Amino acid sequence: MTKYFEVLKRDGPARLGKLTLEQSLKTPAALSEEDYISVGSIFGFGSEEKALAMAVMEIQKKLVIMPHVPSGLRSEPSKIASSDEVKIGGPKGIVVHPFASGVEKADVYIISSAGCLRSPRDLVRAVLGLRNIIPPDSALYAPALATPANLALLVYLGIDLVDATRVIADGYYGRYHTRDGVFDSKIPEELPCRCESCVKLADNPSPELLASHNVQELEVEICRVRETIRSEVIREYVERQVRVKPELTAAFRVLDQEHIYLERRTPQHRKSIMYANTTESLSRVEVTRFADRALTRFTPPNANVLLLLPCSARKPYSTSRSHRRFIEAIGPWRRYLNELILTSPLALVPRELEEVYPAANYDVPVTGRWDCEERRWLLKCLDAYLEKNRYSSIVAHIDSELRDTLEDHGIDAIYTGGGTGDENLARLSQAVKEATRDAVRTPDPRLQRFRAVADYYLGNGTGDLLFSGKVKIKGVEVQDERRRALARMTPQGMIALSLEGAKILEPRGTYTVAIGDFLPKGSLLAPGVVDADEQIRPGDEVIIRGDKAFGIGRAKMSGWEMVASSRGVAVELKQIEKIG
Amino acid sequence: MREIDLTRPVSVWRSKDLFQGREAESLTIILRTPGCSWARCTMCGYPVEGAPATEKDLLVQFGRAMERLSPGAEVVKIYTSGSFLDPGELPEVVRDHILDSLKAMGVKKLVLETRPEYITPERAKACLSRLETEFALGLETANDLVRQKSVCKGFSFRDFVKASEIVHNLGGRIKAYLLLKPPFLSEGEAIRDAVSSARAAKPYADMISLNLCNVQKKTTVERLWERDEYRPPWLWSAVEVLRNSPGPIICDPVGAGTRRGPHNCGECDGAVAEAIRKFSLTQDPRDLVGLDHWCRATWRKVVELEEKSFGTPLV
Repeated sequence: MTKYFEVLKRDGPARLGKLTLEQSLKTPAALSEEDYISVGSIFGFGSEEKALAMAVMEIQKKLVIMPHVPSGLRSEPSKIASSDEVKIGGPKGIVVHPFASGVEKADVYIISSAGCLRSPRDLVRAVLGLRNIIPPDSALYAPALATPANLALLVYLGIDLVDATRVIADGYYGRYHTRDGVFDSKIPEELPCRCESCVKLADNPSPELLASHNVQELEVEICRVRETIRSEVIREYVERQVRVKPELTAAFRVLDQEHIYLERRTPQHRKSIMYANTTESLSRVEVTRFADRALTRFTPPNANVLLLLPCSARKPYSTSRSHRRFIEAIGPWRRYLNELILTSPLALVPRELEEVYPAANYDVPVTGRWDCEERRWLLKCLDAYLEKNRYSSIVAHIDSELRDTLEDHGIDAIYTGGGTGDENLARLSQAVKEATRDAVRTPDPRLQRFRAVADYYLGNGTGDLLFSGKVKIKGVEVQDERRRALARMTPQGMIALSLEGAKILEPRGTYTVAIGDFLPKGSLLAPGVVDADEQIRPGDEVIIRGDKAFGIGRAKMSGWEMVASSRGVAVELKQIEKIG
Repeated sequence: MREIDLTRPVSVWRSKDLFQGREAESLTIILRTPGCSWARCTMCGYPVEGAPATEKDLLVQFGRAMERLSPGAEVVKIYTSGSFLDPGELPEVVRDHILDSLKAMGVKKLVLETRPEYITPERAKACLSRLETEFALGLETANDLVRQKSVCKGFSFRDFVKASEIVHNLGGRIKAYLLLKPPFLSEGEAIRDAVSSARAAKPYADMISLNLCNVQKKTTVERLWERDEYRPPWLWSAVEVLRNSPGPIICDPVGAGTRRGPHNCGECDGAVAEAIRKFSLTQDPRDLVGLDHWCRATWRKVVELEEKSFGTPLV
């Protein structure tokens, strides 16, 4: 529907977008009163009809907000006569009840009484509920709610537009805002700000100066939050920013329980390092998704022996000093076993998957201590892994708390004590040698990696299908017997298909975007998408199939979003060929 | 729970009132009746005061209340927590006994409250044939949409006009209550609504009484207020309405300065409320001039900002 709002970039539920008004506005943004015309509440009119008649405006340059019927958070959303027939020349805004169950078409949705969403549960329920019923390519505006402290969370929930109403009013009530919260009764002794207003505030604490500082502080925070989306670190930023107030942390935790909402919006790959600094990091989609795929999409090379190793600070693990030493110590027996790295918060990283996101892109504070949550998560994943993959013996080269954790849990293994000293490694060497005495040699480990990564990104069984013939590995590329490239490993650890490879996978029908009767160039826009695999996430390698075109590309939005959107780049094309 | 004594009125008090352009002694009586037949207005907590008082109970209540009548009192105001003219609430025999007694005791003027649908020529005549009567109607607002959706009052402006015509044709007086700040209206909308209502009601009312909404127990307004979805009006808003509305207009700022009542910043409430009370007796606009306090700038800003807060009171 929308012609005036476009999402340009996503990082989880947070989006960078563009709202086309007189000038185009980068979102997330604070709307100002110059940006829109609001018809107002119907209570300013004698009847709904009169209010709607007021809404007929041929204004091109401003957002026109239709009349609304105010009602309480806990009361039934009031019905108002449809404004579908109201002709306006520009972007259209509709005011919706926070807990509305259906909405009319609009470019911008304004949450009524948003500033009253004080309870963390109400806030999360309102934003998620609305996000789930409004088109993905429409903007969500929460008036009179934003402060510098809560802004990051609001954006991470899925809000695109805010305003300075709250902080201006607070200035007039004598409240001083900072990113770290609000000074309610008196302004801080030392002002932690160097804005023009603050320079004057020390001598003259006037409402105007307070309000002006508050607005500035909010604007600075908006810039900061936009940059976190651009650099794909908003999750890390929100994890620390919500510590400012318990109710922000509460809302964040409530949001994390909405796993499906987050999963549908979490990219397959981020260019940033994933920091796992908090309790909430354990429940991140990246973590649960990795753990899930390590179980359901990964089939280890056939072996009877499992070697458990600790993680390393440097990623991928094999490039670290400790792992190079482990590998050296295992020596020739490496071909007779599976390697599994134990870590937090990813729990288990099979060696074959150490280069995929986020296994190669995370960092976690290492102290040698494992807290209860981490242990529980690790053991849960390990139990599931061992249930699925049976081994005749396990060698565990781990020490201290990690070793105790496994032993206490009754994991039956040869514990070699861990460590990277010569004696430690000798013990590892010895244990591995004995355990693999009657073992069978595993196939070419380089090909195993390709298979594993293909399965990880494109679904179980993809690797076997793709590399079923007589394939040859040439550098980072896998070629078929006629030396045509099938797939390539990218520097980010992703699998990139060639057209040949895509043709082999096409009959599976997964990770496929069906398009109309045309040949796209450069990028595939959402309106051209007829259907798309629901499991596609931003960053995924996708196959494009239409009556006139076949190709491959990198998804810029989730599959469901491609189908529901009428604006924005759906897929960045890599290769496309004309067919038919 | 304390048992309710059905033979005692809810409350009785003496005060001064505007009568024929001067101050006069008055007695206010609130009778405990079975209560309002409508009882669903969003701001009204009176339904909890209803009780199954019988005819006999009501007569005893009235008798007890009249003991408080001072000899020189000219005005008597009898309120129920509903409608004086609703025979289901106040049986006709009781009503006539009250009217006869007041006449016999030389009371000059009666003020009663009723919903407009209970005003019929017969009932109006019953009052007016005995003594001067002012019929006070809770119009709340002249905007039908606000009255219907925000106040949930259940009658229209037309109903009010009809009642007014009946009373005026028989030579009686009409007082219209206007509610300053029904729920879901911003501070500015509330001011505009009250002023335009005063103007619209003026041709049909001899007196306008501005009621500043306060948060009563067990009401919709209370539930909203508890979640910061409602803030009682600023006293500055009342001043603004009184200054811009056609008179005579009076206002008793009940509960002024409390969290549940109309209030400003907490520092100036007493002075502003006092000025409003004074103005109500004198009708002299100068009583409202010269009031000022630092919080008036805050109020102005809040009025301005709430125009675009889309339902959020800025508290």
